[in-house]
Amino acid sequence: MKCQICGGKATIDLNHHNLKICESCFLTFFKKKVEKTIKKLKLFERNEKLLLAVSGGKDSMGLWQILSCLNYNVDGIYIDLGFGDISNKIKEKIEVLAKILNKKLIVIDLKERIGFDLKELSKFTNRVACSLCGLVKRYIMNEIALKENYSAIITGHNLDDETSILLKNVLRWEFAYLGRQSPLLESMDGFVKKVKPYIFCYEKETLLYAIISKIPYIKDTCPYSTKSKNKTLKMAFHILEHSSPGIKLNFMKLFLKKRNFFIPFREREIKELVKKCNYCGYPTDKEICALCTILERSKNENSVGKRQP
Amino acid sequence: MAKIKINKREILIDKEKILRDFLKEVNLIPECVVALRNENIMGMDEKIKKEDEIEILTFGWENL
Repeated sequence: MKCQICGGKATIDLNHHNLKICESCFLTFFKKKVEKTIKKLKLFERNEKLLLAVSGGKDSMGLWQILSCLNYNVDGIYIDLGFGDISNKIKEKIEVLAKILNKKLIVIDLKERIGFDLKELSKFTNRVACSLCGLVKRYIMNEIALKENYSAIITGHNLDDETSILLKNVLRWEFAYLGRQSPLLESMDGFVKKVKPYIFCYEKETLLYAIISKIPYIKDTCPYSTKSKNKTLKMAFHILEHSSPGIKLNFMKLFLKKRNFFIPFREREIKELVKKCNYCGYPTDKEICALCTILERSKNENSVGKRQP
Repeated sequence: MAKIKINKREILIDKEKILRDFLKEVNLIPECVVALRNENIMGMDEKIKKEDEIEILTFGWENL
């Protein structure tokens, strides 16, 4: 199999792009793809101060390396959720990459920050682990980004992540969620801009990039992710992709073209976010935001709970 | 005998075969795997040789 770009030996077959490619050409191809997405969707500019959510996995670690190569001003933030040895191993790998890239890394220890690690916090809510984790991370990252004057929070969500969420929202006809699903959520009162430069990148591509670039990423998956329903949807998409290469990419691109239809439902939701949490000031549609509600519940059930202002 | 590691499983095969065919036998599709031989990416049409040690990384298919 010959590389369609340089004529060398191709080991990578990207059926969705109808492209056979060698490792070296793949790296250039992939970086260009990410840069094209950033420019085409107007995600951010080089003069912006950016904050990347780093989990230690192939996606965020690879993205940090690419954005650094492309000369974007991007620092990293890692939230230690308190998974013991796994968290320590992750932190070590992220610190290694931050040093290689010569970038600032902000490390937040959840237990130090709110008095509980993720497992302890989960006792005070019925939310599933992934939902609670997302809530906590979004809250803390937004808080840090506002405090440290970052213009955008970048996440490493890839096409497989996003299409599985999109399908879940379609299956439930969650119009407001569909209006919210976008690679670019502009800043609004109390919220920093959120962007996803990997929106058109297959998970296979992000994994290949991390391996070929020898990025020190963590291969282990989250201990809670085995219970995630999104995995079933991802498997369904793998089967669809196998019979119709490119179907995932088309599904996302066509959705983004039709997304305007769902925006009014999102705007209705935003209008409801007029209140500020009585405890922390975070935008909410209730008197108390979701995280403070859980923390308040913890105070009633556990006197150890503490909260920084 | 070739040694193939898929997540926590280890499979031994005594016949040379094409990677794509092996994946089919273990119910995996190329779209959800990356195969490494000596830490190098392996093409789907490459042959698994008897002395090979191969690591197959899967994503979105770990339940199998």
